[in-house]
Amino acid sequence: MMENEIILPKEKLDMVAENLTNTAAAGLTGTIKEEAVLQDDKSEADLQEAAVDISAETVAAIPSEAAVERTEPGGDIAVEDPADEYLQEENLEEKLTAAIEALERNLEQTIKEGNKEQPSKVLREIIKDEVIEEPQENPLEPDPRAGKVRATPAARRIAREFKVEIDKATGTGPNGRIEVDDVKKLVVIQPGTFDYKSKEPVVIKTSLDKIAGNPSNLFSTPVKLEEIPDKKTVTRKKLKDMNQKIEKVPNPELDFVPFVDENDEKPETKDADVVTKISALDFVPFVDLKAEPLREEIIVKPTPMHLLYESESEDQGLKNRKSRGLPRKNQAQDKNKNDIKAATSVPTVTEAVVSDSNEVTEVNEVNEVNEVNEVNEVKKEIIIDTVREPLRETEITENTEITENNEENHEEKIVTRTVRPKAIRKYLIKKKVETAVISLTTEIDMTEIKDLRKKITKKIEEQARYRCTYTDFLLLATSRALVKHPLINARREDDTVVAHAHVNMGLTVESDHGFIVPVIPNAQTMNFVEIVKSRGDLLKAVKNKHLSQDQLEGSTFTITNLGMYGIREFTAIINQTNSAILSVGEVVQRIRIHQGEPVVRSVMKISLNLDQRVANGVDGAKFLQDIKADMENPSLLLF
Amino acid sequence: MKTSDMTKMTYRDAIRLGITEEMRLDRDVIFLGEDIGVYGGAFGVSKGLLEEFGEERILDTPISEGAIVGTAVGAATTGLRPVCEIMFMDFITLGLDALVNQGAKMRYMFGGQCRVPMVLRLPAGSGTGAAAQHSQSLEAWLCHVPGLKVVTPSTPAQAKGLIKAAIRDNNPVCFIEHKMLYDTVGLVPLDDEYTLEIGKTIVERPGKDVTIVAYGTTLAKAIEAAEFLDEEGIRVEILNPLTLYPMDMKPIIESVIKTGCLIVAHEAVKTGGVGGEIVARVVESEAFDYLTAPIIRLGGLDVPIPFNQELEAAAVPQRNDFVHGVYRLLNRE
Repeated sequence: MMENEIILPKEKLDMVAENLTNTAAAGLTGTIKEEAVLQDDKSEADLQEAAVDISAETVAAIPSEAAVERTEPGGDIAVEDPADEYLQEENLEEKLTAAIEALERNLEQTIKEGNKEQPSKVLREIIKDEVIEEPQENPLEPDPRAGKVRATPAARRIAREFKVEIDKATGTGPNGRIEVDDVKKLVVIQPGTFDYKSKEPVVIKTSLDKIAGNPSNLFSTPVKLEEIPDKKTVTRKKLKDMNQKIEKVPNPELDFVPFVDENDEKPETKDADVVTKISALDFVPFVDLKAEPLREEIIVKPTPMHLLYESESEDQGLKNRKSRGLPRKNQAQDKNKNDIKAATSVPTVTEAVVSDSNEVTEVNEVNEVNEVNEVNEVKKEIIIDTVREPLRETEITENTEITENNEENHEEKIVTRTVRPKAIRKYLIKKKVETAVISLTTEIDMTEIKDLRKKITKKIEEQARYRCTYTDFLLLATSRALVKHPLINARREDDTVVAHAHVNMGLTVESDHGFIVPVIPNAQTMNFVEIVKSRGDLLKAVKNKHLSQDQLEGSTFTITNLGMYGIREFTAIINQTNSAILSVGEVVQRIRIHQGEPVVRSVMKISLNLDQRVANGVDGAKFLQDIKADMENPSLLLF
Repeated sequence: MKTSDMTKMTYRDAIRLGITEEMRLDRDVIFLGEDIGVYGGAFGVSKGLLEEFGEERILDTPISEGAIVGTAVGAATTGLRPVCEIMFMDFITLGLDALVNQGAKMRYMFGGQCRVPMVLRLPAGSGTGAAAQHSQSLEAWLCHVPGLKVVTPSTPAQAKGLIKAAIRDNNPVCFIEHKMLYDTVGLVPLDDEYTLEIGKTIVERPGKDVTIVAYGTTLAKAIEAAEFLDEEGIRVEILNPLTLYPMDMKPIIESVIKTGCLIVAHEAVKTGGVGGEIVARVVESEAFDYLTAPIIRLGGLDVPIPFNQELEAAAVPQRNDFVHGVYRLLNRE
């Protein structure tokens, strides 16, 4: 009996019990007392127990028997009941069928409702003839994968570290497995709240809407993002590869148009390309004011001149002209050996040079030789235009080198160019077409740093075995600021921005192979002495050519410095895969209002070139503000 | 080390050089095995040793591996430093009792009062067409016995460094040579004191995308595969666990953390192989959380090594297995 128990809701129990009692009473005519007993039981709520024990067999098949059973326990209690007469008057047969029907109905109902909870076995026993057997007959083995997430351990770890719900990721791996990148796409971090505990780069909240050029973006400056068709340039490249002379046929229309035509394919160059010839040895940034900077070595690409020197610096202008003059001289005297001083003759049409250079730069970009040689290329091209000789690889960078500018030399250069390691080519500057750049400049009062440096130089030199420079302070301040502004320390991948979890600081250095960006990894974890040491080691490696491939890879931000050549302020092209570059100018003494009085202070200008599609101007400005704050109160660097 | 201090020689010669140097330095070192004296060894490793060291120290033994290993264990406990050659590793089964129950346990059982400085040279591996009884790689059995050290060099320089370290070690060391490597040539340091530390895993080839752990001939195949994949821009890091027991897991774990992908390869049968142990240890470690794909084990098929050379090659991992394994890990297939 026990295993056939059905637990019914209370009201139903009552009903069943009533029916049962009625049946019992009908079945056993004359056993009025017992009926009465049952009634009493019911009133005492004891019937619940009895009802629970109802078995289908008993009720459906032999109700009378069941009734007997029911009544037995209560048999001892003898109670008089006035209802017996009433019962006898009823038509017993009718009553019986009605009761049985009601009972069956109840049972059916119960079975239906309780279907899910009841074991099928019980149900089958209760209603033998009913056909409810099929669904419960073969319960399917549950799929162990049901409701589980298929993900790699690494993906799970990242989800854990960034508190992302991994089941929301869409798996792109085999069989829909969730991979690391799928989880990273879920990680959304508001700028400024970035936590550097994880070593993984993550995606920062962004979308195509945020990208500059979209009018709905508040901060975007209207920048043309339309891609200059690549096809043209590609064909050019191919043509050039096949026949070097093709490119060198001068196009007077292009060469001598003073302004860039709208229809012209060239992109609008927004930033200055400043390229310098610095030997690795000379990379001692922020040369002292008294020291004469190596000004003769400045080579400036003509195009961005107006952007470069907004103010003053006549002598600089002179120098530029000088450097521009070089090719002219060269052109005039071609392979003759000549001294630089003889070259003061200024080119006849400077405007032509500008437009020409534009054209040539484009070619350079196609060729991906956008380095120091850029300017040289310009000159080259000019030479070639006029001379129409394949002097493709003329390297006339240094004044002193010019004297050796003969044909044998050319051949040598060509050789060195072709064997240039791939590693360096990787670091070529990206086509400007693909970026939307804004420039921000600020002036930093360096007086306090200067004092501090005087005080600690010796101590630092003892510990790090390198002399500390202003660059080291700037490196420290910058890497700290980058931690606070992950968007500046990021890279763009299609329509997402990936902020790096570590600051790999790139420093532009000139090496034998040209302009390279060796990297100080994990600068965010370093203290001042460590920074001095790693920078010193790095430059030493550059100098000794011991730079490994690893040291050239993975910069997340770049600092470039031309201060030692007397450049006050400039902007540079953003290094590939970075989103920003910081250009550092010379430390000069200027009269500034300090605490209400005009005094002589050492000041320095730094400029940030920022890819607008990664971060907006406000981000950049806050970033510069943080650097400025740290630099002007160097005691803050302690914290 | 300067290249001037090194000379090109075969794996076979490097082992001989290592043994010769040790025998010159230490009079206690003896060398015993089948046909090692007059004949110069089945693989020619001991050629010329009899002339230099005489019959007292170069012992031609009867064809009984039980006798060789038993003699060596006894000699080692009494103070000599025996090096014995088991002609094929497959025959070690006959000497296992002396090795496993005596040699490996004595130091422990006698409370550290005795030591068993012996070396077992075990030429293993397939590729010679010598069929099932002469081609096995049974290193996993030996790794299962605490008290034994198991080393396996993959280049001539490693062979010299490890055989010298094994002879100097005060424990029974199983020195597993691969028969197919005997003729490989490489630069070997000539320094008398050049040894390789037992229990160090080395990085044969740095990379960043996939980690491969391999030894023996599979190492060479892995390097071939890595060179092939290099052209596709996949940088494979290859590690060589010179010592199979006790294995240095740290470089492997660090490498897996770096790459997130792991292939473990050996020629021995996959089931119950050393590779499974490496994988288990990686998964038990922190590296688990950095795995980006299921680990791949490349091992010999669970079959006796066939006689037919085509089938023999098919039974053990080849270069293409590595390439496809790497593709699978990187979802390129």
